[in-house]
Amino acid sequence: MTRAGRWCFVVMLLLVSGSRAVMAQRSPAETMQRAVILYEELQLERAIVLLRQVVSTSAAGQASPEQRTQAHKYLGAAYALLRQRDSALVHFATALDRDPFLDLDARTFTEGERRLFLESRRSVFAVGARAPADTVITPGAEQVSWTVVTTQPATVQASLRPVDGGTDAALTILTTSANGAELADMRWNGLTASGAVVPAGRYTMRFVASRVGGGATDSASLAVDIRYQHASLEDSLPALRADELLPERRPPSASRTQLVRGMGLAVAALAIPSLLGSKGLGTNGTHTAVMAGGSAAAGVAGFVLWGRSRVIAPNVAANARRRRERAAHNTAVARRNAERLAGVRLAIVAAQGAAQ
Amino acid sequence: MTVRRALATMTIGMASFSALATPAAAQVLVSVGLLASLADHRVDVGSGVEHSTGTVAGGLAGLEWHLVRVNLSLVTGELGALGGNAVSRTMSEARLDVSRPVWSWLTLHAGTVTRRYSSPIAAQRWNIARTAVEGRFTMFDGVLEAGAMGTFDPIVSVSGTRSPNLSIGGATSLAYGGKRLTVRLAHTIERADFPPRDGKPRVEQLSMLTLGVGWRLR
Repeated sequence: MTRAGRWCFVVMLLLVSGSRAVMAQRSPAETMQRAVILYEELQLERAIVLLRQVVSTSAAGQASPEQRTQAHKYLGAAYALLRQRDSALVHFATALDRDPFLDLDARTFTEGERRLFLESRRSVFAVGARAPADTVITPGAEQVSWTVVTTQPATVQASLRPVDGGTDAALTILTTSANGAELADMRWNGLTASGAVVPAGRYTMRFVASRVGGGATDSASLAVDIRYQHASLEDSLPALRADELLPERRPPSASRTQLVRGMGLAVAALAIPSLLGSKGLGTNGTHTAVMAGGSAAAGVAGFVLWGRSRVIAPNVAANARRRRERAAHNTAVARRNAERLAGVRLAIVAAQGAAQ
Repeated sequence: MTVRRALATMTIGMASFSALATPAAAQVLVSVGLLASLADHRVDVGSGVEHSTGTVAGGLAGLEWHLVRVNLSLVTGELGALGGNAVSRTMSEARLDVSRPVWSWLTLHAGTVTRRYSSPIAAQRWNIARTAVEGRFTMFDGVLEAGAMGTFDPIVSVSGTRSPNLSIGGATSLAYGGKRLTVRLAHTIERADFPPRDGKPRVEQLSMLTLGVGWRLR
């Protein structure tokens, strides 16, 4: 090899190793985009190399499930064009298993590719479901629909279960038929099987498909958040505490207190005239006696009456009235809240990161 | 003139006492009532006790603004003479009283009393500025209110004679208070010691046992 020839060899080696390094640094999205361009330019072998990089196990951590599904679809299409039928069927089947909604657009793919894709669909049994767009419905009056598809004619049963409700019982069960070629809707009116409005919370809608004629089942799950939309509710008042009520019974000393007070006033009625009145003029004994007697009588009456019954009737009545008022208030609050809940609307929102 | 000025000053003082102690937005309670008193009047001018008794009656109007209560009462009646020294006379009295509780058990009073004794031979007019302290407590869970009061009259003028050296008094009362109806039994005693005249001291005393019935209008 001449000296010039050796230099050319070194330069080419550097270029090749550099291009590989650049390829290795390309993101899965860029690799996928480049592979599709190569596929459309019918540079199928080069496209297959890139598509294999996307679906390879070593790249699994980088490529998203959607990118890998697309890569299998294009691999199937590329092998179909290369007339490698078995490889095409395997990759189409893998793509369909990952996404039963997958289809080949007639404007992009050839009749031969589509024929092999349909043949692959008949060999795979899978069910797919899509959450509805965020929807608000009036329970019982409006409906929300999930879109389902199966790769083959099947009966699909969907059940709604609370994620953390601690019960295995499905709140509602929906059934529909899917013919394996078209999308089917599963409609729900927001009510449980018993006719009640479903409680707010996070749920799993699980779709189980059984192939017509038997022999195969598949399932898919979607997480959904159900929230109530209604006018804000009022809080009821708590029951009256003991310290918020008037005392209903007198202490045992109450009767003695009445007697002491009455007698005290009687003593004052006797003492004031004798202390303040003129000794020389004397005082009117009748006036003094009436006042002192009236005071003493009041004290004795209090002693007798309060000793006979310790119940404070006015306080009992006042407390009963306050309890009635509190109960009436809470009843009114409960009625208004029930009216607001009766007009509740359900917001059905796809939960993030919980779909399968 | 001096006494009138003193009474005017006291009236202004009472009004200020009420206004300063009362929020403007408080509800005004109005009450009216009737009074009937058994009066016992005794005078000793050094020649024996002149004793007269009788019934006086009249009306009462009250205003309560927050905690301040203003009472105006007018009574009149005949006091018949008992014994040879006494002369029957007509007694008329106008009484203005302003009170405010300091604590639930203690109430301060200030007021004026104008009283006239008239007989066929003479008439005498009393003008009194009065202060009082009243202790109160309730019975029967507040249905009855009892009170004992001591009064001191700093200014007293009596027509035809010198003012007394000492004018004091006391009272006890027992009142039933319903929603609107008030019934009150009170015993008051007033005593005035005048300076000696011609070496003879003059002492005058009025005792009244009063039954009052009040009705709250609003």
